[in-house]
Amino acid sequence: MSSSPPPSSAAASPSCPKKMIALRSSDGETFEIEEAAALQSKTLENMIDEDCAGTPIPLPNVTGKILAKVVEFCSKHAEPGVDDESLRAWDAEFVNVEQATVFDYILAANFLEIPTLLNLTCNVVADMIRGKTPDEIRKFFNIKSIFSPEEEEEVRRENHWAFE
Amino acid sequence: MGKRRRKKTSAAPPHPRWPPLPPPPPGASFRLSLNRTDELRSPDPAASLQSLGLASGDLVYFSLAPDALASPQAGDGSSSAESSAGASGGVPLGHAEMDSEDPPGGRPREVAESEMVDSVPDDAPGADASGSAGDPGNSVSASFDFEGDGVVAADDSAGVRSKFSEPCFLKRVLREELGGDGGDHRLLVIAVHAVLLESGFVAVDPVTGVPAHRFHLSDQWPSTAFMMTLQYSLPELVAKTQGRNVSESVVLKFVSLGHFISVYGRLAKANLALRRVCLDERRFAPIIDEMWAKGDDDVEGNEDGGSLNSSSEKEVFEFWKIVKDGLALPLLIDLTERAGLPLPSCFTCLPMELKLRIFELLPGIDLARVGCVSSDLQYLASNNDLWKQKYVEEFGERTESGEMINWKQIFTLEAKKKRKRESSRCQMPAYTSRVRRLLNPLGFPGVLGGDYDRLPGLGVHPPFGLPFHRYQFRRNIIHNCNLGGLNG
Repeated sequence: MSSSPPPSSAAASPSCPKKMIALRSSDGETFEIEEAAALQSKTLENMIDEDCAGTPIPLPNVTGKILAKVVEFCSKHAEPGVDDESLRAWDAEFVNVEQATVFDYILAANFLEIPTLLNLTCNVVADMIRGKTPDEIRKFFNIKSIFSPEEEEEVRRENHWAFE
Repeated sequence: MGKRRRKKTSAAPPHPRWPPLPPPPPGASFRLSLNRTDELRSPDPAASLQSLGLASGDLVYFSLAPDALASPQAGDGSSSAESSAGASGGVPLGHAEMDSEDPPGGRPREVAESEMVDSVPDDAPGADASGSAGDPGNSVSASFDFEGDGVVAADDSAGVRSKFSEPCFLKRVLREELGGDGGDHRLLVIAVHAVLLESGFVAVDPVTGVPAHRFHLSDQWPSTAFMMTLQYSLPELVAKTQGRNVSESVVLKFVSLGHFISVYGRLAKANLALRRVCLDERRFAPIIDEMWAKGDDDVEGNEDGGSLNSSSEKEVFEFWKIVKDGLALPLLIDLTERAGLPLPSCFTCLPMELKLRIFELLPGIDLARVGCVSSDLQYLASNNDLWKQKYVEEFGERTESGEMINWKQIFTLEAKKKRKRESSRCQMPAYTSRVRRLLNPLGFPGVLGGDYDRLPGLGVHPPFGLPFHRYQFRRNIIHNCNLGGLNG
């Protein structure tokens, strides 16, 4: 169900209708995003500059579910006249999702080079780590520890000061 | 009341209060029962239902299969078939509202005729309870009818279920049924199943190990203690084995206690950690029911509230998060690791530079802890530049600089110094785990907990341990005696 906007090489002036960029996710869904919002992504910005934004831009690393949310994020952050506090609250709500989705956001933000989203999501993960013991970190992130008992003991001894 | 319902077949001695029964009329088109086990028979086909001992509000089962109720059942069907409306767990049958159906003679036959035909007489273990799915206009068994693994009361007797009236009455009754205990169980089980499907699992038949596109929901959902098992695997694994037993799968067990359902999950063939999630029926079942009740129309498009308000949506998101983070994601990671498949989105699968980026946001102490998590993270967290940054953040710039400085060590020294300064200011005793650990290698006292934790010198002979009453401030103990390299 793709609808590609008519390609326009002229820069959009304020009186012109907003230029929409079409993006295609890895699972074939198409999303439209305003150019102003798309500029939040350095990757997309480069593509727009090089005038490759005519047909839907394929994003093979991002699924439809995540791309929809990323588009929402960028659109929100491109909105004029939103005060910092409500934007922060909106951001907090945006990342209040299950773990797998947070990591999907990180990967998408990394791929699309969206600094705001990347900072936000990395901070979320850092918050998840902060204050946890190694066991808790393992359990929370489902990380398998491949230390032998001796290695583990040694590592603990090295870092014992962190456990006081 | 109960006695009458346990009335046996004609082979049993006649009940003292009832007249002896003649042989059943040949070609009887249906069998009535109150507990799906024992049939109610009347000498007179035209007798009223009341004469059979049925009362207002009783739940009545009937079947068109002549031998459906021949043998008594070993399950707990009889115990749950007690009287009034909705008491037996969520069986998708219509109520026989006896008062509204005061039968003139022969009414039961009329009802039988109006009933939908697919009675299911087969007793095969895979008994297709799809009869229940034949309810018109009601996919309550939604698109999932689960097949219990035998733990749930066996419903191997013929599919005895009834529809007594028009679809709208049925719908109302089903709605009532779903409001009862059995309904809540069903809703939560289906909802958890949905989360697993969304995470990428496919359902697998527990008996044969082949993918199951539809589970068969047992009709019997006892209102009290309840347990059932489901099995899942991944599409890649299923494809590999081409319809035979999948090599690896995940088993989910639902256990209900009161109004909580605990869901346990683990790999079927490995002894890894058991994952557990506990769900409060009272909190989530109404919300899920609301979602189900909305039907197909516009489930997604309720941004502005609509009929599904935002607090309900929030609860659904909460539910999803709890089940996904506590159950689906850990199990998915376990399964993919074991099967050698690519991991789902998780911390481990982030590229190195992103992990480092996250570590940059951590204070030094958390960075040290992260380094204890696994050997990969130990390597990452020992990055020198990273520790230099941490040092500068916490202790300011350092005048000396050179290529070979081990910034982590320097940070560690500074941190210890800082802590010593702080601890000398306050003499609060604080338990430290180090001491306990060092006691264990000595082999004694080898006891955890209680006084041995509170006072680690307890029971250990000098010079390693110290008598109890003299050393209540363990910080002093640490400073004053050598416990084998602690301060080294």
